[in-house]
Amino acid sequence: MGIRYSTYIDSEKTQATTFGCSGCRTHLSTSGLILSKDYRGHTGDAYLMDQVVNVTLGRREFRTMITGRYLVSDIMCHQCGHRVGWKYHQTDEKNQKFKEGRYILEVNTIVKCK
Amino acid sequence: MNGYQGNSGKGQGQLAQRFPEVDPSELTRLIIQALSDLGYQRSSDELRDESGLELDSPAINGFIECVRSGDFTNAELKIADLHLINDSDETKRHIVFLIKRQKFLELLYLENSTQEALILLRQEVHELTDTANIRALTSLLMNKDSPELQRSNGWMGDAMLSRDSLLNDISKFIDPNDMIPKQRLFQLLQQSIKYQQSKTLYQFGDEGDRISLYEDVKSNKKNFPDTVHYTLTMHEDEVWYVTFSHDGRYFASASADNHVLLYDAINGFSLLHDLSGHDKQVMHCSFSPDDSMLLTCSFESKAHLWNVQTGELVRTLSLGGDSRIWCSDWFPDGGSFVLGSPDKEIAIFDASSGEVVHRWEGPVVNDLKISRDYKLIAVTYDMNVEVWDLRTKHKVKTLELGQRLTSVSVSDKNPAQILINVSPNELQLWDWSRHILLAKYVGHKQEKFVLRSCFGYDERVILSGSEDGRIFMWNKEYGALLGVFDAHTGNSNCVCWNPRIKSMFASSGDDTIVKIWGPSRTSDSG
Repeated sequence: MGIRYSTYIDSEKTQATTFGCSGCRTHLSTSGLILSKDYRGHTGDAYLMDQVVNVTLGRREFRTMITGRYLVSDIMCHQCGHRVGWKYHQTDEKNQKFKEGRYILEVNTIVKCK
Repeated sequence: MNGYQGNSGKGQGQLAQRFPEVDPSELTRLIIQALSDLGYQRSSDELRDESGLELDSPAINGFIECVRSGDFTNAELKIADLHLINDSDETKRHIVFLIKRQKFLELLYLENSTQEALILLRQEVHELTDTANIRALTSLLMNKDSPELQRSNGWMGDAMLSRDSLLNDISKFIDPNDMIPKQRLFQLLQQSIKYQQSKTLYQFGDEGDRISLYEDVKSNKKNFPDTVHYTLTMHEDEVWYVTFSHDGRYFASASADNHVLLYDAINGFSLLHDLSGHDKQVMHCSFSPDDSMLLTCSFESKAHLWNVQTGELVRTLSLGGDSRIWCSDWFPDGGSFVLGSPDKEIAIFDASSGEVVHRWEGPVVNDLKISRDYKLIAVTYDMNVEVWDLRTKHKVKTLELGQRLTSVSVSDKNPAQILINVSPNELQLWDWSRHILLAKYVGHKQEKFVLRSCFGYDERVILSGSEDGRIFMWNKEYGALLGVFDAHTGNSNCVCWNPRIKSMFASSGDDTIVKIWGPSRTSDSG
């Protein structure tokens, strides 16, 4: 797989915090892109993110969660392969459509970076 | 037109038909010059008699005579008789300056009279030229013994050499028909050989192979390194970095299996040490200039310094905090080294104490190297090349290349030349000091990953891995592709050249394998 050429997030001029993979500190997203902190993942608390970078997508599969059934893929850090959350592709629940195309980052799998 | 038309030799008409570009009397004059250059003065004179041609015009001969004998006053008077290419007062004033400068140098070095030299500089030289030249001569006055200043001001160590060099300088302003440039025939032959070499890209012959004027330069692939000599399979994960020690005795490979392996590069690449201690993938390593230490960088935000002889861990280094450390290089004197981070830091460490002695915060550093003239060259995420002078710690240059720059190598022969992997799918050779793109190399694939390239074969070729597992070799000067080798599955991550064995290089891949390449042994080794 080699060493990936990664995207960097510059939070210096904004007040935001950059989130990186806990395995290798590859940048994933920033606190400025958090849509909600009120989510739960496999490993505990999780954030709903508008956008993430430097991830690869796992297999698409249907998962049934508290709020309904979703087509999702796990997301992995593209550098070290750590699983850091998932991406919502699709849902039939009308009031959950806003999640489509958004990402979950699990708090335990990410670290704050400068 | 040639003002010194002589007697035509027999057969010149036929020659003129076959070689219309070659003027027979010009060639004859070059032969007269070449014979004299070769020390065959009698034959040179003989040919001069037979052809009726003069090497230089009578006016020039008088001028040369004055300069050679040190009669600078008369030499200045004779400038009026010279046929100049650009017959302006400015050119004449410059020639007078060059002559007076010679006088100045001879006062300084032969007569040892600094006082008189200074007076000459003030009263006569001053009005002839610009301040830069005057300043150069003044600094020579202060630093009489600096060989660099001596040469740049035209003093070649003794009177005769300096006077000849003066004549050579002046000859550039004189109509070449009046004064043939020095060793002109030799220059032409050398150009012809260079041209032939440029058309014959495979120059992989033995060191002692002679180039003969009797025949055109031929392609020679005898030492072309297209064959795998050793396959090293001791890593258990992708191999991301390989490098030879400066003396060619050791070879190191760094892997995503967290290990760095150290091999004996002289005795069949047997394993010397398994350097284990990193907790995460190792992506970079560099030998100290004396090859006693190896510095390794890993994903765990720490660098390790190892003793090459014993394989022991000497020290663990960090940038403080959790800043990642992705690249390193050593000062040429070995007293310090630099660690570079994608977390916007570069720090200089003292090699013996392990203390940080200087720190820059700035761009995201993708890769860095130190040149032998103490310049720190970094390629950054901002798509720039940044150059700092390590003596003053000041930034001296920024090149805005506007493309993704993943790794950099610096030339040993010309420390201003840097080779950069540019994504997508390109290598670029730059002269950073002159801000010139010298060459581009294409054919390989590099879109998503960090691949590393190198100079090789006495810096005559360029080598890079590729995301299709192949290795590409180009002629450095002309960018022509010389070879493509199937090397690995997945990425060919890194290539490096043996600094001591001219036709040996190494490659490493995602397939966990390291390969050592050399010439094929099928042909007789003569």
